[in-house]
Amino acid sequence: MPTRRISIKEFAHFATRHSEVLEALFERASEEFTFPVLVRIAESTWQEGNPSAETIARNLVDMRIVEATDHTGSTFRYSPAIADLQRHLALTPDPVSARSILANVSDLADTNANIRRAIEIGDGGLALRAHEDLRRLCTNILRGVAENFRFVMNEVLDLKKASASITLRDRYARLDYSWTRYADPLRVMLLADGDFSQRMSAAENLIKRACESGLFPNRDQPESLRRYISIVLQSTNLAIVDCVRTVQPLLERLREDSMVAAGAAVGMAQFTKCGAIPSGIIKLLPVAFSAERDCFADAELDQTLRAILTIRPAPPPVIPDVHGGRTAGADAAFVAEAIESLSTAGEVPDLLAHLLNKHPDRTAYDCLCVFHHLTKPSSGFSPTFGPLAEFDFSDAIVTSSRLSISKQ
Amino acid sequence: MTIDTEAYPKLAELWDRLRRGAHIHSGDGADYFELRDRYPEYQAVFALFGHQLIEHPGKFYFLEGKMNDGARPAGIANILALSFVLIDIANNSGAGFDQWFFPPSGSARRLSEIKPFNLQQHREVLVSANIKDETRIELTLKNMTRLGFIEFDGDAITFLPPFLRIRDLCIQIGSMDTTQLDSLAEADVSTSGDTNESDNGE
Repeated sequence: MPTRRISIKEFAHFATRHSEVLEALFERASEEFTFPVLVRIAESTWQEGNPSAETIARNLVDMRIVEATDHTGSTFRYSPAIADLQRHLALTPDPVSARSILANVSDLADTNANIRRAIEIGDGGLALRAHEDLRRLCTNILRGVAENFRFVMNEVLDLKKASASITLRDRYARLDYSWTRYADPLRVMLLADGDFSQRMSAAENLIKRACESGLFPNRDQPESLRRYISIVLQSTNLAIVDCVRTVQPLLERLREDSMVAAGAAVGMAQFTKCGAIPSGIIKLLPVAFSAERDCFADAELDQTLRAILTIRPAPPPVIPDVHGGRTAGADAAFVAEAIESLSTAGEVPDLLAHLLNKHPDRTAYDCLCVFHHLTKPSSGFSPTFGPLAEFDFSDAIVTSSRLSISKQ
Repeated sequence: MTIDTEAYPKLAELWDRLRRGAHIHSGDGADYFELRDRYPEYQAVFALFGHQLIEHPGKFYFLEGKMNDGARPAGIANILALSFVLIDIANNSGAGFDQWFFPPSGSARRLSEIKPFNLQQHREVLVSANIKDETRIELTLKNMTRLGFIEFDGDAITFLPPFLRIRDLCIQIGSMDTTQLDSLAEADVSTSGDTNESDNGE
């Protein structure tokens, strides 16, 4: 089956959504499956809201979560690398899932509604029950957040101490998986969402109002709960800020290093697949190259002419024999035009403009090189080029308003 | 616009270096500071004639070259092959890119330590790029030195800021999907031609 390159991030998101499928595959890590069997495994863990079992099975193949065990791609096995990852996670106690913590936060709204109702109807019993629910929810949230962030921080410490046997890409995959599953949902809840803070603040105020309404026989109880709510709110915020500050830079650095490693791996694969690297990849690293084939490999070419830059190394032009002998291809036409231009005895910029209009593929540098050569006494051309020979090429000035400077 | 060559006394020298693919970084002293301090001016001068002078965030400068038919940059394919292998060695060591190539201590990597190329995959890549023996490896490292990617004294390899271009290239390739990668596989370049050019050198 054709596969596309899947980023590690996409894999982590898939793993978070379909952890049950991965757990089912993990238990059968030593087996080989056909595609229909993969579909049945996906069906056995299917939940409402998931894509179809066949789609999930296809994703497993595309993401190389399962690897083909033969050339025909008719049988698969659970990727050993991913099985190792799961084995590692299984050795560490699984913290309370982020989903259940979010469910507790969601329940805050119902508890607040109950306290509000208790205040409205003056029901002390309802107020006391809501009070207990609120304390339980706060404890669950505090413990759950602490466990999740501690788990991720321990993962960071483990990876920092890990031996060289774990590649950068595997380190990134592990940390990204942990972050995505255990910490990021809570980060969103606590920092980005706003509901958690609002509900906790609302709960604190409602308890205060219920207490002022005399719904609690003992004022110490609600006061203690209000302080507890405030502590839970502060502690969870501190925990997430600390976790983000520690983990995100490391995650970003690992992500970038992993991308570099992935790119190098792709590059190496292209070499071994094609026997050479595709020119398309070489073109991604444009490097200027020596314009060794200058217009003239002329030792007398002075420094000023070098300062008039050329872009493209032109093939060496051939000066036609003045006795009408040999010529050499297209270059002869250019040189012939240059001779004709010089015969007009105009100023240098006009001569350049005339020649460049006829040969827009040439540069000002090319033209000046030809002129310089032709005006040398050794060139053997007509002394009518004499005035040009007095032209000071060492102080050559290129005026773009008067010249059509050809570009490549 | 006129080019007053007296206002650019280093123009010819810089052009000579840049057109040969050199990357000019802070270790190059006066040349680097000339480009750094007058970058917009030099950018305009080179732009007049169709070349783009690039200022890289890694604090170095280079000319973005053009490949013309029949002309190939000397040894680029070999440089890429060796660089990919080195990056894979770094990845396998568990060290990050910066940590392996630009260690805080400034210490150099030793060719004698890298050279065994123990992994079969690495040897295959180098053979594909016609880097079959020690002579070819050293020639490739000399080409990298010429372009300003490294300093190489025969064994010690010090990676210079311009090597970050290889990192950028890897990130670019690493983020491509299969379709994009396949579209790059046009008119494969034979590395045997590149080897001949790098034999000729400058």
